[in-house]
Amino acid sequence: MDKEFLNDELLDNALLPDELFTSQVAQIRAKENTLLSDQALTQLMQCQTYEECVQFLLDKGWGPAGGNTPEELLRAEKDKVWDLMHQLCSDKEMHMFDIFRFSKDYHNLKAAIKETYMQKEVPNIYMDGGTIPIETIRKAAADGDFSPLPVQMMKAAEEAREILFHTGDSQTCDVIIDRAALLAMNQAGKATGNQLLSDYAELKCVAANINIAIRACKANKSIDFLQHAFAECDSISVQKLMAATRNGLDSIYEYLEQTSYADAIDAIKESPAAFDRWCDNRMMKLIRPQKYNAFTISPLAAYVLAKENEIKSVRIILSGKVNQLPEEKVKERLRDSYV
Amino acid sequence: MIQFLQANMGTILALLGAALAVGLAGAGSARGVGVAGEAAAGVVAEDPGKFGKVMVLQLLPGTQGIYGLIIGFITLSQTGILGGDGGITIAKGLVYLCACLPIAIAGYFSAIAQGKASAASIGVVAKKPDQFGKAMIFPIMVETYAILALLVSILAISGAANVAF
Repeated sequence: MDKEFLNDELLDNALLPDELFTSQVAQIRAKENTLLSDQALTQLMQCQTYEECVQFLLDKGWGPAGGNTPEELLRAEKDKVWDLMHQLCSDKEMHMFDIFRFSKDYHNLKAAIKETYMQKEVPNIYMDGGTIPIETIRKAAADGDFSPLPVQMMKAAEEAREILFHTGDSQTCDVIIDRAALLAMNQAGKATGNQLLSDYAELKCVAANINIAIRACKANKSIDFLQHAFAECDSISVQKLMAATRNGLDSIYEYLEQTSYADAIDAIKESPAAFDRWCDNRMMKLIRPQKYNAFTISPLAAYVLAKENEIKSVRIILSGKVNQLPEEKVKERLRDSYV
Repeated sequence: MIQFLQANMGTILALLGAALAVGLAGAGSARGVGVAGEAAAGVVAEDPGKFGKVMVLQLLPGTQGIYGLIIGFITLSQTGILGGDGGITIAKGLVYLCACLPIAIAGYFSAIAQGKASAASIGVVAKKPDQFGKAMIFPIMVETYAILALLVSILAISGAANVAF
């Protein structure tokens, strides 16, 4: 396997197959009782005002009592999930979850390179919770020396920076870094030796490739752009998808029909939001068997993903209330729940 | 040395059987109860109110250790090691050793398997406490095979006492 994009630390810390996580899984089983079911989400949606929604969530044990804004509430829930994982897992075991955090590192890398290019500080563009400190990334981008970053990130950063500084093409800069993020995640997923994490990374990669194909097809992007954008994965052929993208949307549908992602076609035809919903629902389908698994780190990973999915659904409902969107509009965007 | 072994080999073999029965079945139970205990502690950390239910499930893999102790005790009594002269023939000692093996082997493996089943059932109780009765059935099924092994060991030891060697 090409190890160019592998996270070395992740490889060194790969868990032994006999680690059962018995106590942690049992604790997660008890925690799963607090996840919002489809019924609870419907109740939340039926709340008349945003304030009622917040009260409903607080009654369900969400957020800090003083957290009034949607962001505070959702942020507190995210923090709780990671605090719980830190309680349940050792530092070595926590590296298994790095693939959930890679996207933040690469987002910060994009932000840092663009900030350097624009030569001015932009507030609130960085995301906490990555595997690499934000300051390390910012300094690397400011110095133009990406050697403190992992090898896979360094190569992508150098290429993206060069393109941005020489051509001013921020879209290609984004595409290069996004592709590197997907490859790093996919290969790190395989390196964990855990089927769920590996399948998660693969699904993320496939969803991103399909998304790129649809958007690139509509924007009639060049073959050069497509080569920079698509990230190799196992369950679809990037070459075939690329050829289909050049031939039009119908060719993309024809190709997807031959893969195990044929059910995505209806969602793609409906709207980009419907496709996003399909991606999240497919992820729930992938992790749902972990509800019946009593051992290994997989149920913990499934809980993290289930909670992220729940937070996403609550965000949709809350923003629907704040913006006074019709209930039907909100309902069609809601994700399937894990429980 | 050779004379000592010739004189006591029967007793040594019977003692080895008793040691295996108690040691292996006990080790299996320790592992099984340990695995189930980890799961139980995880649940109690979140919901202390479920202590009573999860403790029952944790105890289930502990029975193999008791079965091993029973077989070990009977073997020691019948061979005269406990309160007797301890003088039995090599053939008889070998018979006692073989009689102890079913509970030693089945006890060890069934206790570990039962521990895992108990841990999974503790997960069921964590999510659905009202399903405690059903959850308990799954680890109890594993017990069947430890009981069968115990039965054969008891029959073999009882038979060995009546056979003239």
